[in-house]
Amino acid sequence: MSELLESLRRRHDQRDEFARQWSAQGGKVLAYMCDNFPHELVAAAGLLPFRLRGDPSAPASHVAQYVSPDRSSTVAVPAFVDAMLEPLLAGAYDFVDYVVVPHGRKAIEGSYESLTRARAAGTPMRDVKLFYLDKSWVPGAASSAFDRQCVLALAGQLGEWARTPITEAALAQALAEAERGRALLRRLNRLRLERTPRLSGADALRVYSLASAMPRVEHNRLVQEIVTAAARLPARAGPRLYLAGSPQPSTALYELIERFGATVVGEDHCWGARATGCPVPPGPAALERLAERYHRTPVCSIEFPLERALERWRASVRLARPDAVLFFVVSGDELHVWDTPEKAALLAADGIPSLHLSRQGYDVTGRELTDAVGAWVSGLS
Amino acid sequence: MSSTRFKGVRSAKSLDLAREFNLYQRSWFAEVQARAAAGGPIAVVNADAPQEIFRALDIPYVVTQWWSSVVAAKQKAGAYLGHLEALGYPDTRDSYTALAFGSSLDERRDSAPWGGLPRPAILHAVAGGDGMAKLFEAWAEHTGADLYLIERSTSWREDIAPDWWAYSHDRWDELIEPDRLELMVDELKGLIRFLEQRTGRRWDEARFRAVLDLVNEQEQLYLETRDMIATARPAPVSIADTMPATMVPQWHRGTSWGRDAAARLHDAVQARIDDGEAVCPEERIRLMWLGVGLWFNMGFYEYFQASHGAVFVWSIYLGLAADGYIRHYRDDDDPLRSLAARFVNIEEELRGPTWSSQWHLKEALSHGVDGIVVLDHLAYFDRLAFKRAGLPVLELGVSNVDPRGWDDGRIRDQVTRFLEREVEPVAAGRRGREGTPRTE
Repeated sequence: MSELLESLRRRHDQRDEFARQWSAQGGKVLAYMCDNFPHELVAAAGLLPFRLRGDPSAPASHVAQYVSPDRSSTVAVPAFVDAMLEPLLAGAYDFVDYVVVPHGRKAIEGSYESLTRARAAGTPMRDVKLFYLDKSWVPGAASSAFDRQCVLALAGQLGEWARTPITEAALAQALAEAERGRALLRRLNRLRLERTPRLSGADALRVYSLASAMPRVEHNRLVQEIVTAAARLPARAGPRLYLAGSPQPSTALYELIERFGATVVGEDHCWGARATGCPVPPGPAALERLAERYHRTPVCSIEFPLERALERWRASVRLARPDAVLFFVVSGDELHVWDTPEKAALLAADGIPSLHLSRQGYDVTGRELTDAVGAWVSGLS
Repeated sequence: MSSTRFKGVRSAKSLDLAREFNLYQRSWFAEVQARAAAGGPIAVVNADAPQEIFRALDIPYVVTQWWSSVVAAKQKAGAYLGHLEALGYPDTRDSYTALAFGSSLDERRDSAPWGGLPRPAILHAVAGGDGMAKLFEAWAEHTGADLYLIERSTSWREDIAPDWWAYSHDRWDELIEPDRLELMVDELKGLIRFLEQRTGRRWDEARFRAVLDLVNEQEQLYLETRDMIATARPAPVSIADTMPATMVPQWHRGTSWGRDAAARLHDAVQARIDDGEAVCPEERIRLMWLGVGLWFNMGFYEYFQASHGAVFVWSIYLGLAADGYIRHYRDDDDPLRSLAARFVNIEEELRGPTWSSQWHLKEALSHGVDGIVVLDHLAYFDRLAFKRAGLPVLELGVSNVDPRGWDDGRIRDQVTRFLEREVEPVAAGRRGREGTPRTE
């Protein structure tokens, strides 16, 4: 089993390799931002969907040169957004042919302008084609109809890029594979949800992250292997932690927490266990089912009404049965600032202790943070 | 070092109108407070929300950003943002809106500006920005108000009409994508149903059409006023006059008072031009102010009139009223579509890449502007457009309602250097072209 996990870690360290190989073999790669994205359409069009991810603890020199100076200070941009843009602007993602920017948080949405302006300003990025995928976040029939139109527009654009319309059969197959993948990921997630976890949070995060970087069939095979061999994994003692707050595209924070003997058994950010949820609703037409899923999926923290978002969050925390919750919010992440008092109140009512770390950076190697997390986790033990 | 105790200065108005409008606003606000005290439903709505729906249903509403401007002008921003911080909410983000939320938490009505914001029964906003929806939800929770949020779609298409303002009044359905219009029309219908249920009032389309007609009349008057100011040399008024004289009636649009107030502004500006009156007779430099109003320090706009002959001649308040609000419709059109068309694109018009840059440049050129002072930071395409036109830009990077980061001495020095080193040569060239005397 340890070989399997080592192999997983190696693959994760070279997460871009699958897309590079795909491109080298003549395939087209479509990069996207945000986890609520109908990637099944992309697969059905014969392209490789590739979720952008960068290293938010590394300097983003091209962003600093071409984008940051002209940013409005009214839109806060957390480092993980710059990290997604940096390899594109630097020309390092020369395997990417298309980029879809979704209506997510403002900083993500603003990436469309950032890419456009950086290209105009002469950044060495490849001349990728851009598409903006809108979404109405307000619940209701009007939003459902609008979101459906957005998915149809994307389908039309993909058909143009692929030079052939997406067929119902191809989409149905992509949906089936993705659904199988979600089911497998739910099984995998149980390995850390069970009373005695067997999978570390860091390894779970690696698996989720690879789901948006590999052809789904291959990823499903990988998850199946891990799930099958899980019985051989040693039981993990130590406190169970739930991680709330900003997206964690890298495993660094998980590794820091787990170094002190804890296990991250759940999280609410978009690189984690959200990959297991939100199934495609039943129906006769694959495209309609996918559009409805796109509309219904409340994965982003933009979700409202607040009451429903809090209920969902509380259910997610309770499912994980944590001994404590860590709120880790990075600088510039505004999605978590207005509902944190309410979340803290819910935890207090459930008798769950929590630690709030705000205005953090993604470089978690600092002594102060290490000491704070270490002392807190040790106290839980 | 930034001053945490800076107290702004009021502007010296050239027009009596702004004072008159302010008096009217005080009396109107007292009436709103009385209606709230009697148990009537009061709404608090954001500036970029379709207030015409509330007007047609005769639901009194206070515009969040106007109220924040009052709070800022009364130097209460620091205290009210402190209320938010004490509850664990951020005190530095979305402050133009958060300030009004913070004021709702002030229990001491006697010391509150204008007697304080009445407790809202209804909150309404467009869910733009990362924190806006959650901010309003927290606000609703603390006040017990019913919240109705609507979405606004976004367009990032690159094939927009370079002169979108030429389409926006009469050919708006060519400008805006049908799906986006339909979404907002459906959302407006939902808002109407919600308000009917919440207040017991009934929707009347004839009344709504009358409101829309009044709005179009009012905004047409602003358009004509904007055009007069653009071509007059020297400027008859500065934005210290036009911002409040436009903003206050704008929140009364759809009423005859709003329309008549716009007419009075129009006539007053016309009279000053006819009489040769200028806000700064020694005008040498014409400036554009990009951003919302600096409400805690309106005197800033007059800082450089005496020393440099520098007059702020343009702000979004009159400019957007002229180009962004008018939406004509035919008798057989659905009037809700024309209202939707007013708001679907408003974000793009103000901040969308190339939408706003083309418009800002057009306005700068038509007003004979020599330099641009930006409240916050300038978008890339705006910068590019101004650079190509040879217009210098200064970005202040400050909040318009939170004086805690305002360093008056530093900013005065910064603007002085900007005027003397970058703007004056441009202004001299313009004056030469226009044939106005050089006063080196």
